[in-house]
Amino acid sequence: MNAEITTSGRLFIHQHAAHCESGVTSALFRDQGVEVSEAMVFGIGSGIFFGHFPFIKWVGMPITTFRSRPRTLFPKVAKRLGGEFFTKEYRNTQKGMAALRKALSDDHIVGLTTNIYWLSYFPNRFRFQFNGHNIIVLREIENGFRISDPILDHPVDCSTEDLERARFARGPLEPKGFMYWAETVVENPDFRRACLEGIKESCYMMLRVPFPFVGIKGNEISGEKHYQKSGQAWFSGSLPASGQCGADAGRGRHGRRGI
Amino acid sequence: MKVKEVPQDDITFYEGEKRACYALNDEGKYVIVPSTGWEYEAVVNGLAVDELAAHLEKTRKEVLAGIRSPLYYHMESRQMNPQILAKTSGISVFRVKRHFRPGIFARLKPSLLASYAKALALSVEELKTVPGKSAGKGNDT
Repeated sequence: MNAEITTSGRLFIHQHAAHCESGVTSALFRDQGVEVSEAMVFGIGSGIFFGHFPFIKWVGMPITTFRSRPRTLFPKVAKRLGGEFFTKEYRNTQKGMAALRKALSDDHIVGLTTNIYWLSYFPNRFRFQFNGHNIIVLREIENGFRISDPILDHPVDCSTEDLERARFARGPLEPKGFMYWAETVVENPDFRRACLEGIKESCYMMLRVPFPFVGIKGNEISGEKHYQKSGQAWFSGSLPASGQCGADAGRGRHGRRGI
Repeated sequence: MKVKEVPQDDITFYEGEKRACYALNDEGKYVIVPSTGWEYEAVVNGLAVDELAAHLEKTRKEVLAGIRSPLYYHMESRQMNPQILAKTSGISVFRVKRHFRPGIFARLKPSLLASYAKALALSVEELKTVPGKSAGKGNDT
């Protein structure tokens, strides 16, 4: 049902995923013949995290995140599972788009970092200024590109103009046209070692980072302390923010907005 | 959560899209289940969206009353802040903030207006005006 073909006619199976970056990473590995699920990638890349930052405001509400920072998961997974990856940022829009077209004609499926606001195939309320959404471009079509977005359960079309804006959006955590694909991967990676490394790092981030606001310390701040200080204000203030985090993009995207 | 317990409340703002949820199947293994949304999610999301929409409406009235320039309205409707707008349009934050004053905005050079229009993906005519009536609830584009 969700089978798609790439430029040279290779088969690509679109898979629905809960998070975009882990979904894209697992799709890149699967395309190279290493079967690894999204959940596995999420664990190996230490995707889980908690942070509550009352001093960083987004539309007047403090930021709560429950995923690691965008663009940290893919490098970690790449390192722990092994393989060669092409990664590059572009400053110039024309050069960036030309490089994307060239990569597609060389029969790669290309991962891109984009700003979700400008991707108009999303429902309105999913869209907000967030520069860390990852998608896979499968091939070029007339006036646009065929895109496998792991958040949606089917591949979509995206116009060239939208994609250009999304790739070169400005603001916090600029994507700068970031583009990546797998050249080669290790055929039988050592999953045990990779998992252990992932788990160790997650434990460190959640329990022992010597900085407040992250991990269990962030949990305390966002819940109890915040509540004691401001009484009912917790509900009127931070719930909509984290709610929108959770709801809008939640398990998908929004949660890892923030640091 | 079991596969059958995944909320399928068909909430409107998904516009027919589905989101992946992990749930346990009959064999006790986690599988991906497409969900059409959870009604509580719609409520909480509605709170945040209503707040933004109310703010945007307030800005629109201020523009009509001549307190702020249309640029400010369009920036907010694109969910940007002055920093993002400044970087996108290539105009310094200081100048962007200055252009929020209606008198100064009215005298802007066409080249500046063009870079704002490009940054906000609007035409220059759209940039100079605000919509006559309020945008629909939660409809932010």
